[in-house]
Amino acid sequence: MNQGFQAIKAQAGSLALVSPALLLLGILFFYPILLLFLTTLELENIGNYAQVVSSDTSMQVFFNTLRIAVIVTVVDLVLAYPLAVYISRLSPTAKTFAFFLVLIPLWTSQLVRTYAWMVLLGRNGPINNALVWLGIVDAPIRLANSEFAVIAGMTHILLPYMLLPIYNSVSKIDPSLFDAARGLGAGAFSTFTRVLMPLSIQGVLAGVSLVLVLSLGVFIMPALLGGGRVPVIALLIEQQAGSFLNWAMAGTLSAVLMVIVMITFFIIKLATRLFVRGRADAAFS
Amino acid sequence: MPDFRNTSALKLENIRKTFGSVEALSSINLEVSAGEFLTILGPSGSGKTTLLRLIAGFVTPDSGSLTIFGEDMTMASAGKRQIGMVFQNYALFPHLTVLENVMFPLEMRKHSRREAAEKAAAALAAVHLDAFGDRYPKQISGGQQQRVALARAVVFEPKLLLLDEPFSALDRRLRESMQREVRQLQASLNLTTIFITHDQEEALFMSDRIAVIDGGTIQQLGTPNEIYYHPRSITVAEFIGDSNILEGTETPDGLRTRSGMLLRRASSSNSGRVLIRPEAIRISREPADGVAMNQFKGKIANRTFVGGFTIYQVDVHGGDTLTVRCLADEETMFDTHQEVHLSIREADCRPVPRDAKEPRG
Repeated sequence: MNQGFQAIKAQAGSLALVSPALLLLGILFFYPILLLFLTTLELENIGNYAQVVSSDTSMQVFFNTLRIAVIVTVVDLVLAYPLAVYISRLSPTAKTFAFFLVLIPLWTSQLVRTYAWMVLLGRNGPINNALVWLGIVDAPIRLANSEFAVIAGMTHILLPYMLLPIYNSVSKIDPSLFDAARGLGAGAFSTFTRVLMPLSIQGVLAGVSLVLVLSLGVFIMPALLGGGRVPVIALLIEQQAGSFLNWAMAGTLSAVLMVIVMITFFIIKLATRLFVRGRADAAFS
Repeated sequence: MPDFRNTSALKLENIRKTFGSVEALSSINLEVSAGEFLTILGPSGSGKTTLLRLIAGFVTPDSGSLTIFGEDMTMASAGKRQIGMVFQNYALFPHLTVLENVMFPLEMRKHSRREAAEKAAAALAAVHLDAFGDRYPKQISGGQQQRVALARAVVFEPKLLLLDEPFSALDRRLRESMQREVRQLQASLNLTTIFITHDQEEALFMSDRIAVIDGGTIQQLGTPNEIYYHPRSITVAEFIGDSNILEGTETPDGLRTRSGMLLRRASSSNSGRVLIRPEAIRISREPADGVAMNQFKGKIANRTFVGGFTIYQVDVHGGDTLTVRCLADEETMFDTHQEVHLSIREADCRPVPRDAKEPRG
C-alpha cells in the first residue's frame, strides 16, 4: 500500500518536472496538428480523403516518396554500418575526431548543406569539371535538379541518424567476442551474420526507422535539388497550403502521410520482435 | 597408440614482435610436446598476453616461425589453426544459449545441426552442465560460464587448448575446484594445453612445465620443481614463491654476507648470491642438532599468523633479517622479541646466477 503510494508520488514528481516541456509541445505542436486534422474531418472536407486515395497522381507521389525514402535508408545503412564498426575500433583520440566530423554536418543548417550540394552538382561544379577533365564525359551533364541529386543530398544529411544508433550498439559489444568467433572458425561473413548483426540489430532497426521516417517528410532537398522533377509528398503538401491555400487538402495529405509513417513504425517494431525474439532480456539486461 | 609425448605440438622459433617502438617479444624459442600442460607465467606487461595472442593467431610475428604439429602456421589465420581458447572474460556469445554457444564452432565446421547439437550436449555433460543448455550466459554463474567456455573450446577437438587467465575472476574455493577439473579434463582428453597466468601458485599447481616470461623473453623453462628450487635468475627467484636473497662475497668456506653472516653451501659457486626459501629455515628454542647445517642466533622481530602457517621475521645477531615460514603450532609459537635459534641445511642455501644484463656487485 505504502509502497504503491510512494511510487505514485514519485511519478507525480517526475510529471511535475516534465510538465513545462509537455505544455510547450502541447500548445505549439500538438494543438495545431489536432486543429488541422479536425479541419480535414469537417463535412465539406471529408471527401478529400476519397479524392487523395483514388487519385493516381497523389498515390504516385506517395509511392515515389516511399521509394526514395527506402533507397536513402538502404544506402545510409550500407554506408553507416561499416563506418560504425570502424569508428568503434579507433583509439579514443581518433574516435573524438571522427565524431566531430560526423556531428559538424548535424550542426550546420540543412539549407546551407543543400546549397553546398547545388554548387557541387552544378553545371560548372567540381564534379562536372572533374568528369570532363578525366574525359569520362564530353560535356557537363545534368547532376543537379534530378532524383539523383535529391537522393545524394538526403543520404548525406540523414547519415548521422543512421550512424549514431548503430555505433551505440556496436560499441557495446565486447571486442573479444569477435576474437572468439574468429578463433572458433568463423570467417568474416559468419562473424557478421552470427555475432555482429544479432548483437547490433536493435541499433540498426533504430537507425532504419529514424532515417526512413525522416526521409518520408523531407522538404528542402526535393525542393532545391529536385528542380521540380522529383515529386514527393512534402512538396505536394506545401503546394496545397502555400500556393492553393487549400489547408484542408494539405491537412488530408499530412494525415495520410502520418498513417504511412505509423505503418512503417509498426512494421519495424514487428521486425524488432522477430529478430530480437525474447533474447533481448537475456542478452542485454 | 603412438606416444605423443615425443611429438612436438607447438614450436616457436626466434619469435619477435614489436608494437611501434616497443619490443613486446624478443627472440622467443619454445617447444611444447603433445599432451603437455605448459604454463606461461609472467607479471602484467611481461609480454605473455602478446605471446598468447600470437599463438592463437590474432597477432602475427615480425619475424620467426610458429609450427603446430609440424605444420607451419606463422601466418595462418586464427580459424585455420584449430585452437580452442578460453578467454579471460570467457567471451560467450550473449545472444546464444549455452548449447548454441557450444554448437558454434561445430556449425562453423559445417557439421549438421543435429550432429552439432549432440556433440555440444556431450561436451556440456563433460563439464556437468547438461541441464543448462537452454539458459543464456547472463543467467548462469561465473563458474558455470567458465565451464561453458571450456566446453566450447574443446568440443571441436582442437589441436591446442589456450587458457588466458581463466580463473582470475573466480573466488578462491571455486578457483581451486575449477583448476582441478580443468587439469582432469585436459589429461583425459590428452589435450596439449598452454595456460597463461600471473599467479605463481596456480602455475606450480597445474603445470607439467612452466615458462617464466618477463621483459618479452623467456627467463626460464622447466618443471615446477626446477623453477622453484633452481631459479636461474633473480627475476625468477623473486617471482616464484617467497625468498630470502642474501648477497655477499665468496670465501673458501662459503658466502660471507655484507652483514657478516657466513653461509656454507653444499656446492660451491661464485655468484655471490644465495637463495633461501622461508620454509627451509628451522626455528627452535635450543640449538638444533645435525651435520651440514648453518646455525644462527636471532630475535623475533615480527610474527604473522596466516592459518596453516606462521611467518616470522627474525633479526639474526650480527646479520640480516630473514623470513621464516613454519607450520603453525599453537604450543610452540614464538613471541615477538623472543631469542631463537635458526638452522639452515647447507643444501638449502642455493646459489642464484646473475642475470646477464645485471651489473656485477
